[in-house]
Order: sequence, then structure tokens, then C-alpha cells
Amino acid sequence: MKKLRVFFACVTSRLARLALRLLGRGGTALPGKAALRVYPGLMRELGCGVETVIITGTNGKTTTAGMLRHMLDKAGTPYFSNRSGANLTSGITAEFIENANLLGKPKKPLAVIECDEGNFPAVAAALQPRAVIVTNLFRDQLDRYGEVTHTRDLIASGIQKAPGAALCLNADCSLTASLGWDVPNETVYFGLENISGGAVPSVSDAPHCLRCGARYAYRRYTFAHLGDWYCPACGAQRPAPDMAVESVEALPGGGSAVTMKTPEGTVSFDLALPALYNVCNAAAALTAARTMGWDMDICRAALADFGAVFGRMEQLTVGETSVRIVLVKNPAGCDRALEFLASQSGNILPIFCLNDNAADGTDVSWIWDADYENLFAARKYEAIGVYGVRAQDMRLRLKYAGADDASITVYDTADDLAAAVQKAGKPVVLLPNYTSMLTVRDKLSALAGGGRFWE
Amino acid sequence: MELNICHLYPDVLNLYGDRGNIACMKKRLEWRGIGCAVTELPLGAKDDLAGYDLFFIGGGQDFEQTVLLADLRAGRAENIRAAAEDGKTLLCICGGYQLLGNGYRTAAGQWCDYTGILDFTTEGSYDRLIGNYAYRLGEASGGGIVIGFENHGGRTRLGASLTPLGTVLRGHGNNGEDGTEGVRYKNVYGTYSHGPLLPKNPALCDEILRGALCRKYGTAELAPLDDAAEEAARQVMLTRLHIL
Repeated sequence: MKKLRVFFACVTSRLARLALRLLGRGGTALPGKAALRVYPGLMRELGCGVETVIITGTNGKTTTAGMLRHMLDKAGTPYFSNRSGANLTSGITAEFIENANLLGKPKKPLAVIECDEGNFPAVAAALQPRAVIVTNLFRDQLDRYGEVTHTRDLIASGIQKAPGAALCLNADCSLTASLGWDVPNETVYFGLENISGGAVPSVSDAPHCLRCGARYAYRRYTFAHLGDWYCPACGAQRPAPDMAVESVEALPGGGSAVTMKTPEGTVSFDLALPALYNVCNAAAALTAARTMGWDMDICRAALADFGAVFGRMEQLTVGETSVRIVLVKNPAGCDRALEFLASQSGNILPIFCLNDNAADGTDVSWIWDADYENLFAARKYEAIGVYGVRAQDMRLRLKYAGADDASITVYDTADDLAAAVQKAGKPVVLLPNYTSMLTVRDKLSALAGGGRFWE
Repeated sequence: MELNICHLYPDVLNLYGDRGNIACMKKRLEWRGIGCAVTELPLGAKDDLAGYDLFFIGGGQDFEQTVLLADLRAGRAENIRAAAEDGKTLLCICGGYQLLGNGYRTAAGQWCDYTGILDFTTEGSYDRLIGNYAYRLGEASGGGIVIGFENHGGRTRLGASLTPLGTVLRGHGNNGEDGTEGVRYKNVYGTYSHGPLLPKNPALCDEILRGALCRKYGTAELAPLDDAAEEAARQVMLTRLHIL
């Protein structure tokens, strides 16, 4: 009976996917949804016999998953993955259906799965992963997830249902590290040692001890609420990371040379991607790779030529214009992107895109928590672009951050934006949120000669 | 002229975008050549609040609000009450608004005593009221339309002696039933419009600043500003909510 339901569910999904392709549309959510309608227990069936690593957390999921895929590609290990960012239950189910024959038997025995925090409990329970990476936890889409401690509790409830999963946790994030408290799971921590981002953050997403409520103190800040935290009242503190990044040197091309202490000794590797937060993502990926028992020499070497994934520091050339796309979805991620933008010298056209669709979070007030002020402290931009359903909110934010309102152009359509990019005459840095990134990237990559994202 | 603004509990009550309100007040004073000093008073700060003209209290996470109650009971609540009765300006949003009331009954039925500065009570619910919304300010607050975003589990009901800040045009407001939104008492403004209320409602921002300046200097004329960007952002949401 079970086999029959698996069969019908798989057929339904295949047909839905075929129909979408015939209509020229991508999308993996609908086929997955259709299959789950037919058989809600499908994911559990299809997860049997597949060794899975799940990546969840607020920021860095897609980049970390991309690093893991790149490691497996380099090693020639067969695997499958939800690579187009379909990270809800439906999209993940669709990926497992693609990997199975119509009787539900898996084709490839290894999966790299990026999972939305809200869907994590159901997905973890169904897939019984071998390893779970939690990258970090920040305030994100309050209207969808509620408060960040609620997101933490959601992930904790998923972990409870997957006692066999080895947890790869960010020691520097007090919210994430607390997931390793009082659980039977094998737990491995990664973090940055001796590396300080300097400034004390103006707003902390996690000011108070989850055990006793007292205010955390810090021996060192990395960025946002990340760092060497401890509770002066009850003694809770950052666990010593098993995989500890000890030094980061900037490389000429924008990447980093990294040394890392591991239980097997100190190692070094080059990372092609710029920015300190990508060093954190690399540490997360290596921690999971080690837990999964992959060849660490190959994994480290893979990071040296790992390029950007889909809108995360992605670089395109549109006509004569070089374009960097930096996806921003929440204040913590946005501040990192703004630091990157501020570090780019020379004449630049920054473009900020803001939508408020369901996938973005319908509440855009988080833009007031990001430090756009830092952009205008040292310089003025000749021209600034804004685009998206909430472009006018973005314009207002920039005005109060210190931009000259007269320098801001509102692009009404993606075509207007693309035209401005083509004739910019200087590098463009795009900071879009999720759905505005999809639209703009689609438009720009078509002009740059790239494929659409599901291809 | 100068205003001393106090941002109370920025360490715990700083939910989405609350800083935008401080930034907005500061800029709109500066653009008019009026001085503005902002002091952040975190939990446990020693200060009797007497030196400030205008107070801002934002929203917070449920977990963090419990940390706050002990500090309020240690004397802070009495300082805030004195400031409110003295005609000083208070802008209190979401969690900060609820704290002005008698207390909060959680969805699970547990009662938490709040400050009791104003006579209203909030009941929690698992069913949150979320979304873009709009309300019309009462005449005493200028009568204009406020647009904002609400996201609250609590249902607030005002005591008979209290006046709401406005009347709901779209969305839910205090409780989703009686059409009221927020509270207005002397120069105290309470509202569920969380995050950056003031940047998109410059008339309300100016009304609040004018009240604080009047109390301090007896009179206050605020020069008009170029609000083209503010109006454009308002228009988008007013159109979407089918108001204009």
C-alpha cells in the first residue's frame, strides 16, 4: 500500500514538473506540493537510504551548501541537492522525487539540503540527517518566523526529532551554540578565534543569556552579536570551537588566506570569496565535511576556486558594466553587504532593491536597523538607484541615512534598471532582497548571456 | 532651541526598525536648525529621567520583556509616570505601549503586572495580528492618516477614561474589534505601528516634536520641510490599502 502511494505521488510530481517545463517555467515547489498532497509521508520514505547533510540558519545557508557541493564535485562523489534555493518542504520533497525511481528507490545515496528554518522540524524528522549545520541566527522576517528566540526553539525541536544527527554549530553565535546544550547528539563547534571585527554593534539580536536572563558580556566581538560571549551571572559561555579559524589574511583578488585549528592539527587554505562572513561559511562547510568523513585535502583545496552562488557576491558583466550582486535579507546580512560596498573605492553606482512579497517578509521595517548611515559617513555617491515594490521606502531610508534625495533615481521597471546598468559607465553594486534579486538577476543575466536559474 | 531625547531600553526594546523613529526626529530637528541630543538608557541605568524632554520606548521580544519588568519595578516605572503626568512627550510602540498599561494576560492565562501608568489591559492570543495597516489620528493629534505595520499577539482594551490615538481605517489596531488604535494621554502617544512609524508619517513626527518644544519653550513654530520622498512612500501604501 505504501509503495503504491509512493508511486502515485512520484508520478504526480513528475507530471507537474513536466507541465511547468512545457510552460517555460521553473519552480520546484508546485511538483513537491502536489506529491505531498498524494502522500504526506513521502519524504520519510524517499529519505531512507540517503545520507543527508542539512544546512539551516539565518544567513549563509546557500553559500555553505554551495561550498559543500563544490567539494563533492571536486572529489567526484555523486550527490544531489536542492540547488535552486527551493528550501521549503515542498521543494526539498521535489528534489528527493527527482532522485528516486518511481518506486521510491534512491539513485544517489548522498544529499546536500538547504532548509528554511521554519520547515526544519518537519524536514529533519523526515530525513533523519547524518549532519546538521546551523550557520547562525539573526532577526529575519519577523512577520513569518516571529522572534529570533522562537526560530531558535523551532530548530531545537527539529534537532530533538533527529538524535542521530551530528550538529555542526557556530560557537560564536550564542543562539546557535545553545542548540548544543543538553542534547544527546554528537556536537562539533566551529568559530573564529582571535579575530575581531572591532565595533560593538548598535543593536544586538541576542543580548541576554538564554539560561538565566542576565546580559551577556563579550571578550571580543566578531560582528553583530557574534563573538566570544559569556554570561557573567551563570557562567554559560561560548564553547571552545573544535574547528577554529585562527588567522585570515586578505589575498590580492579579494579572497582570504585562512589558517584553521582542527582536531587533526592546524591547516591552511585559500578562499576565493571575499568578506569575513564567507570565512565563517567556509568553516561551517569544512566542519560538516569532516563530520561526514569526506577527504579534507580535497575539500580545503575546493574552496580556493569556489565562486559565488546565485546572487551571493555574484559577478556579471552586462554590456560594458561590471555588476556585483549581493543579496540582503535582514539587518545583519545587510550590514555585511554595506561594509563591502563601503570598501569599494572609486566611482560606483549602488542600486538597492526592495520587495515585500511573502518570500521576502511582508514587513520591510528591518531596513531601518541596518547601518546605511555608514555608507554616507565618508562619501557621497553621485547617483544611487532604487527599485522594487517598496523602492520608495528604500529611497526614504537612504534620505534619512544621509543620501542626497536628488541623487536617487527610482527605477519603475526591471527594464529601466537594466538600461541604467548598461549605460552606468562605472561598476554597479546591487543590493537586492530575495524576490527583487530573482527579477533583476534574471533580467541582467539574460543581457550578460547567462541561463535562467533553474537551468 | 534644543530637545533632549531619551531612548529607553534600547538594549531590550529595539524590535524591527525602532531606531528609524529616533533617526527621523533627530534629522527633522537638525534640518530646522534645532538642537537634539539622544541619550540611550539601557536596563539598570541610573538616571531619574528629569533631564529629558521626550522619551521613546520601542517594541521587544517576549523573552526580553520579562527581563525588563524587574527593572521597571526598581523605580523606573515611577520615573516614567512622573514624566507623563508632567506633560513630557512619550512615544511608546508595541511592547513599549503595552508596558504603559496595567498588565498583560498571556495566551496561556498567566497575568503579568506592568506599570499601570495608564488604565488599559492587554490580553495575549496565539493568533497574531499582522500586516500593513492605517488609522486616522484623533483631532487632538492632528487628524491625519497614519500608515504603518502591525505585528502583535496582544489585544489591548482601553479603560473608559482614555482616548485612543486614532481610529482604524485598514487592519486591526488595538484589538481588531472596537476600531480603536493606540492611546493618547496628555503628551503620551502609544501605538502598535511598530518599526519606523515616523519617517512615513512626517506630520505626526512634527506634531510630536512641536508638543515637546511647546512644553519646554511655551511656543514652537516648525518650518516646513521638503517631504517629497516621504509623500511618495506614503502614496504607495495609501494606494495599496485603497485609501486614496
